Amino acid sequence: MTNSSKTEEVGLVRSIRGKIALVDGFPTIKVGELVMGENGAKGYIAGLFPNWVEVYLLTDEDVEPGQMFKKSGGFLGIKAGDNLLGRVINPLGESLDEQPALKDSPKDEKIPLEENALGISKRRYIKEQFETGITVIDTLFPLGKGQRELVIGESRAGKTGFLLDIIANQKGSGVICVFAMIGKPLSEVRDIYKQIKDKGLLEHSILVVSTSDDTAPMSYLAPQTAFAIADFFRKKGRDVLLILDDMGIHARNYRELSLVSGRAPGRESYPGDIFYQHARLLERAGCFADGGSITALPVIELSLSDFQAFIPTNLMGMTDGHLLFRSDLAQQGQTPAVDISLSVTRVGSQTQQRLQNAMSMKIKETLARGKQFELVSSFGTELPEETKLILIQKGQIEELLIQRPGRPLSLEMQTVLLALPFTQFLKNKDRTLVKNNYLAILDLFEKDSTLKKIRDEVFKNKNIEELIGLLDGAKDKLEAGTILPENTKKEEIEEEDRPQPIGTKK
Amino acid sequence: MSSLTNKIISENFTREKALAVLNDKEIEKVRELVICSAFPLSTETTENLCRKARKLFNQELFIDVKVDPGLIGGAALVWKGRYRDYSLKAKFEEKQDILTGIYDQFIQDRRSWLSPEH
Repeated sequence: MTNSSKTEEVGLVRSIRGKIALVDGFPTIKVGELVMGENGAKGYIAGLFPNWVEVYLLTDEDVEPGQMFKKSGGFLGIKAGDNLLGRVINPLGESLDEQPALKDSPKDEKIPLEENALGISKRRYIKEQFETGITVIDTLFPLGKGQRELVIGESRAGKTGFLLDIIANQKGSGVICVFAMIGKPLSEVRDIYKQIKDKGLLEHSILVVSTSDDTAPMSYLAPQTAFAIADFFRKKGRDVLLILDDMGIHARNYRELSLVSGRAPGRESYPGDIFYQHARLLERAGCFADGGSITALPVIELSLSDFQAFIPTNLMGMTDGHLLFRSDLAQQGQTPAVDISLSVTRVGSQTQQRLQNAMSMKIKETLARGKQFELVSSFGTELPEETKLILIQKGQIEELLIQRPGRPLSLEMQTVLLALPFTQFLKNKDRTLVKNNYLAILDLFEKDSTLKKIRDEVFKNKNIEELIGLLDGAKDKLEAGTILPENTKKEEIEEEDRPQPIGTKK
Repeated sequence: MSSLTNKIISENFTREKALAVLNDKEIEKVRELVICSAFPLSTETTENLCRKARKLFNQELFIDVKVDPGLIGGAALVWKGRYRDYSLKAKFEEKQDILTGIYDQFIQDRRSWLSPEH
């Protein structure tokens, strides 16, 4: 026999289980290497066993026993560069949008999807606030740059709209937004892409998409690809916002892969290492010593009747807080529909100014007391003046926390706004006054020089009382610029700008 | 297929015997040789090839014969996870630069022969 002109390693498919092929051969292959079948099926090595290797199939081509797989070169990874901004890609880095295919450029780097999270010595203390422009978040549940905050809630509670608002409010701030859609229906992906594109947000966003008709391994890889891209920009000193929607689907896909490959099922049939899989992903977020940060917002849907479900409690244990969204609040018109009593941020408070912190505590105290007094007031008894005042303040605060679409607020404006219920201007005034004059009040603080100065220098005040004193001094200006309840025509116009409850037809 | 092969299969491929084979741990130790041919082989050629392969490797083998027209001619073997290409396609790829050089020279000669100055 003459010497062979070409020798390479191959594997022959022994059996197929779903989207996992058991392949015999590949004597020196490593986990994570990419392989390709005779019919173009793509996969990667996920496990090494004495008599076979496990290949997770990434494409839909039919694979049959006896088929040959060859190494296609390299490990799981994508080519990352600035050309990714504004694009929609799948977990393998292939473009999915209607723009031309991604072209390689000399500045591109091939980055692995799997990377270990950096250790403690490579991280920085989180002290810079991540501004979302949304009052209830920035004041009551502040996020820090590098924080992991879980977005948890019922279906149709407005989580996706909230996330899109945060992306929109990062325009011009230099923050790069990576949005990973894991196992989402094509229609939803299309809808979100259209919203991002129409609002002009593509230039600072990257969408990593695995749809519901993709294979389970593809959906399993989506968050890893998103983190790899986020890491790439973070290493350049950029701040990155990473949204993972939704981790419950990721967990279910990983469960499918584990059950099919014969691993022993644990609680709720999830594999024993499901906590590790999510924790090692989320630990890649943080604030790092070499500059740059990754702020992660993993999303999970849950039913409030089963608050102790396995995956949500896992995720709560590995994040720095959670925002609980409720569909009943969304239906009442509260936007965002965050349950203030059950949401938590463990890190964000250290990033706030002292006055913001004080304001946050005062607001939460007022809301909590107001909730208690509401229970008493429902009995119809005569209430003391102080109790009535608290109830009125609670109503006004709730109106001020409703975020108007397309109107992100600066931290200074939020602080000033939330001080108003404690001033003479809004004392004993019904919440409808706030509802009807919200935009007018914002305009006043923009146009009037005195009010503008109070707003811009708000953090120079030593305490809330000092700020309230200043606002009391400008009471006349505030009253002059707001609309009295008798003027109904203008009230109707402003009503249109108020966010409508979900399901309301315009 | 030859009548002898049909007879062997019909006598031996019963349910009990097939299950006995599948349950036999010795079967797992038998290695597989895959022969990729550029064109379909006759039964006689296949049987000859298999006999020679078993003699060469001096052990029990499962032999799988596949047809891959892309090889153009010759054959490729897969043994213990390694693909050894002895085909005409591999030879052409090996000599690709020489062959394309010869072809380019031919085209250049034709063009100069057909040019008006010639």
